[in-house]
Amino acid sequence: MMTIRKEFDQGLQQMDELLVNMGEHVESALRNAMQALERIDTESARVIIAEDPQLNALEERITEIGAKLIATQQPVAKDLRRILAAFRIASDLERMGDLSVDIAKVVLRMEGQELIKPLLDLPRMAETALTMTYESIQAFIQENVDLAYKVGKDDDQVDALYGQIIRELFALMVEKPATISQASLLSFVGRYIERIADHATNIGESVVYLVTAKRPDLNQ
Amino acid sequence: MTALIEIENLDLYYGDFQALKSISMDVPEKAVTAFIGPSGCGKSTLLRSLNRMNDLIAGTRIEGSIKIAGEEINTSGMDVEHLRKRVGMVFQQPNPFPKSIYENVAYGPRLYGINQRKKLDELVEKSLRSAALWDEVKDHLKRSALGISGGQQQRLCIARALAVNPDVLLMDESTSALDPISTLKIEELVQELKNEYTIVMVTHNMHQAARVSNQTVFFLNGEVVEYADTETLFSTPSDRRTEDYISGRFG
Repeated sequence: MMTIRKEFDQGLQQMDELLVNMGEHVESALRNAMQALERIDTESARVIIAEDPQLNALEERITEIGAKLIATQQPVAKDLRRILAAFRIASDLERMGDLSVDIAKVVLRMEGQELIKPLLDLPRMAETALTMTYESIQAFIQENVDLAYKVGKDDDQVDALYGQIIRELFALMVEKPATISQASLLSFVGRYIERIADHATNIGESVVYLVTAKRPDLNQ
Repeated sequence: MTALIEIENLDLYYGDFQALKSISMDVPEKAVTAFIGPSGCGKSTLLRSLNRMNDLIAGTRIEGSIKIAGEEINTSGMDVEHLRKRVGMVFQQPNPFPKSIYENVAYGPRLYGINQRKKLDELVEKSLRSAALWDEVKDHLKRSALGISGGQQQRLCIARALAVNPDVLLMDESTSALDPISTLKIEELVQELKNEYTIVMVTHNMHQAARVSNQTVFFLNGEVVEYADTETLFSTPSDRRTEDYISGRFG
């Protein structure tokens, strides 16, 4: 690429780097929230909540840079799609951060309780969602459509686990009504992770849009 | 859309240099077609071929066919004066005659034998209205055309071209010497005019092509690289070279 687009290319690269930062923030928030849940560790949960504004600030920065590039560089074709995709991805990541905060808030509400059952499937769901998050951002940076479709496929696993967890928790609630309060909180956690995976799938869709200019529906 | 201009296997040489290589395309009627491409790509040469302005450049040789409304224009029998009445042109620099505003517009019709004062008055008003200039100049039609602003002069040149009732209007970088407001006025005018006329424009301003035209043709080294409807060309070009050019990677 020639130097005549130096400023423009620098701006695009800055946006890429900020998206990677956002992705890393989301991964660590989700990972820490799940650890906090397994240990009912309210201190870690509070840290996750306190750090969320950093993620919002990253999203704002991406919007600012993209708006400046649109105003000053009049991008077209793939350049324009890259900026539009970055806006959408940043907004998906910001929501994923909020959902991790929601898990941390569940931990706060469980303060002083013992877990009603050992957590197995929720951590598995979270692991898959973490991989999807990482791979969706990689797919964007590498413009890798195959990887984007893999993220969409992984989402099916998350959805299947979610269904299983809900059935299990319902059975538990019927059997032992005393567990209802915590079991519903845990099913919320399942729902939050499932939403996080959906947003990762949205990122995969944005990658396909960037590369092919078509919007597929990976969230089937 | 019906094609008003049909170009087939057009080759054009300036001496030994081949400026256009085997160009074939249809230009649709009553629409705006934009030619874009880096300097020396042949876009202006092709535009000037459409009313045989290249005849004026010594050493030009042209092969192939250009038909306008079905009639071949590259024949020795073609009445070039008549062709240029049907295919009007507006240039980069406004070039009004050093005459009154009125006389600039009346010049063409007079040349074609219209001398009746009432008829001329009507034509002048109609043309100036079509060029979105009437309201600004109607009270001083007798003033010199050289005294109005550059943007107004350019619209006067458009009015002058319209006064002889052409089918096609060629615009060669017609806003590149104008300020942004005058440029937008001409762009708006083009949107109006395309309902009545077939417009072909050459522009270095890609965003102007994106704003104004229905079709865009991208030229490189005397060849057509891509010809598509404007929205497609600027959002999902099919040729890598088009994408690189419109994204500012060269040119």
